[in-house]
Amino acid sequence: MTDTTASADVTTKKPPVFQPQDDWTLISQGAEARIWKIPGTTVKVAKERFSKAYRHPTLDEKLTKSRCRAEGRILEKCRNPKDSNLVIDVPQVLRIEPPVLYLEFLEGLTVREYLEDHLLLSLKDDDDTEKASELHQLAQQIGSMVGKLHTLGCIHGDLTTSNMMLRGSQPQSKRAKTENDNNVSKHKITLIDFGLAKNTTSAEERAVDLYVLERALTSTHPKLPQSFLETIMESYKLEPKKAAEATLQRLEQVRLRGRKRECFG
Amino acid sequence: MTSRATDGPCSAKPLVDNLPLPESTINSKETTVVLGIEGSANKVGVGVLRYQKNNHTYEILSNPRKTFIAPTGQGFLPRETAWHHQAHVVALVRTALQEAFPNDKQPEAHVDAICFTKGPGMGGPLQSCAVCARTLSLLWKVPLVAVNHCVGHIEMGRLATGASNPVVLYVSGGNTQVIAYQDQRYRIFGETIDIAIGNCLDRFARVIGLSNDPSPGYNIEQEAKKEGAQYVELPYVVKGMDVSFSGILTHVETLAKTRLVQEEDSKNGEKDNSNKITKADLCYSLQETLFAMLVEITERAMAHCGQNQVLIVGGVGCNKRLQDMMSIMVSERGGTLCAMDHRYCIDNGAMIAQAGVFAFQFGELTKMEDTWVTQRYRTDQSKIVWRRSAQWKHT
Repeated sequence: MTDTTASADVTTKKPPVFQPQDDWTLISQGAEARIWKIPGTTVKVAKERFSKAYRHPTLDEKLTKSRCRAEGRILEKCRNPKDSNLVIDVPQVLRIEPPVLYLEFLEGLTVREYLEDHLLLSLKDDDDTEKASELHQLAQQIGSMVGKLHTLGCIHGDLTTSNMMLRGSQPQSKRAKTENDNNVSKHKITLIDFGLAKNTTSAEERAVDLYVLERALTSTHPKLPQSFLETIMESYKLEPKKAAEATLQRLEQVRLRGRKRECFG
Repeated sequence: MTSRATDGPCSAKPLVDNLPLPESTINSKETTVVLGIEGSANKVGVGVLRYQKNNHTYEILSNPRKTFIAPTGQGFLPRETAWHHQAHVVALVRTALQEAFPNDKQPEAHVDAICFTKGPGMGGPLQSCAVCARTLSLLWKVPLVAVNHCVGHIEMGRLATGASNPVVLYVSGGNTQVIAYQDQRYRIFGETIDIAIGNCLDRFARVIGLSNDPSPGYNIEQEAKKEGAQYVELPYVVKGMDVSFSGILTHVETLAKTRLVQEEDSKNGEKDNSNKITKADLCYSLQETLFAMLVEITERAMAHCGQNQVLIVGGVGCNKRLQDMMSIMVSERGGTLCAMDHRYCIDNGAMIAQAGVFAFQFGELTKMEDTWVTQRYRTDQSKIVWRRSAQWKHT
């Protein structure tokens, strides 16, 4: 009895809850957002940040709203930067209505799926030149993309291979006939999930961004050759010139500090 | 010097991820008994653990412990803590053996191996316990097994809860890590990039003058429960899978120095407290903020690894509010949160014995010349030879 009255009180205080339409299909549920696919002449996507019951309501509302707005703004900035050389392929923002962000629908594989199910599947030695060069290109693309992003004055905050997609790529099963089409150089990498992105030009934040990427790569893809990361860093260096040097220097410190964490864990 | 030997035997059968014991002289015995010595932080503990072959169970026979409590306003310093451990470790070994084998004139004759903490932790305290372990090994002519402290927490947690392969949140005074098992290593998926959560809480307790008895974290938890505690906005710092606490600590320290309600104010009946905050407000808000960060990165790790069981180990895991928040998150995902237990949350000797006996049964002994201790010893540095090396699958 007491329980029901308590929960009723809470619901009356809350702002109107987001209700997905009947014809929307849930395509993925992450740790903090649901992605709905909205059918229509142009397929759209709704990214709904749902409320977290474990968080204090004030903190929850603050985080949900600010993350939703920030994500929309940063996506806009990446798509239409002042300097047209810095355009990064990201999903197009259609509408921002916290807690929901409406985006363009992307068809394709994530880089993680692509690496694990295709490139790293049969990579044994360095003799597979075709795959090796594809890996090299992929690393170059990732490096220069992150470089551009940082030059724009943004950090992504969660650079993992699950957050990079290859537009138009297909799973291996469907691909058999069109083997030649499925080459990384033909698919530009699209960066997704800017949920933790931030506007900042600090070398520290940039270095931590790279450190997160480095750690994500080594923990998710243990089979990935060491050269992959080196290529990423080399391509990264080409993009923001001077600032890159400062960031990479800082990265050394962040790595060291990460190692300092060995002290007491 | 109380001992908690009332838990009964734990079956290792639910641990489907563990490999079958290899054939060896050790594993052909009906029972295997090991002694575990822990002393990486302010607690020194000795545990006796027995393995029984017929029903494949591990049982804590005794597990006495002593805690060094620093005066209010101070932390525990390496030197004094080492002195404390040196003063108590021998008596603890005696108590542990007597409790494990009462009425036995030579209880040490049962011991097959001695396990000790190699790291991570504070140098002096670690060294003190390692010296004790080496001495006993030479006296009793039994082999030594060096154990990673974090792996001790995890293995005791797995055994006590029967959770074969959970995502582990390890939160203590010196560690903050989200760990998932992958290919014979406990991989760190997220961790603090500066200070540990327990360190943040302990240092905050010092600033507002809370006692270290029984622990600063416990006293913060009690303070936060006080009626009328208001939520104060604090920085919230999650970077990918990692968290950072040092900036939050500085922020609450500043708040405590500038806006805290002084006791004289309330005595004088001053009503102008609109801009003032209480200790309870700060404790409450700090817990809400820090724990929300931990639950968030744990959820990310669960989503990343496709696992739905969570195990919280380490001293901060005793906090009821953290457990509540975690269980809300886990149940929303349709998973399970393993219950909190003193056997793996608070440092003790038996958990070192538990990780040690696994290594021992798989033939991983430590030579005398390799029994040095280290303050720096990451969880992912030790090879987990007793678990399957099968390729880890992502979702």
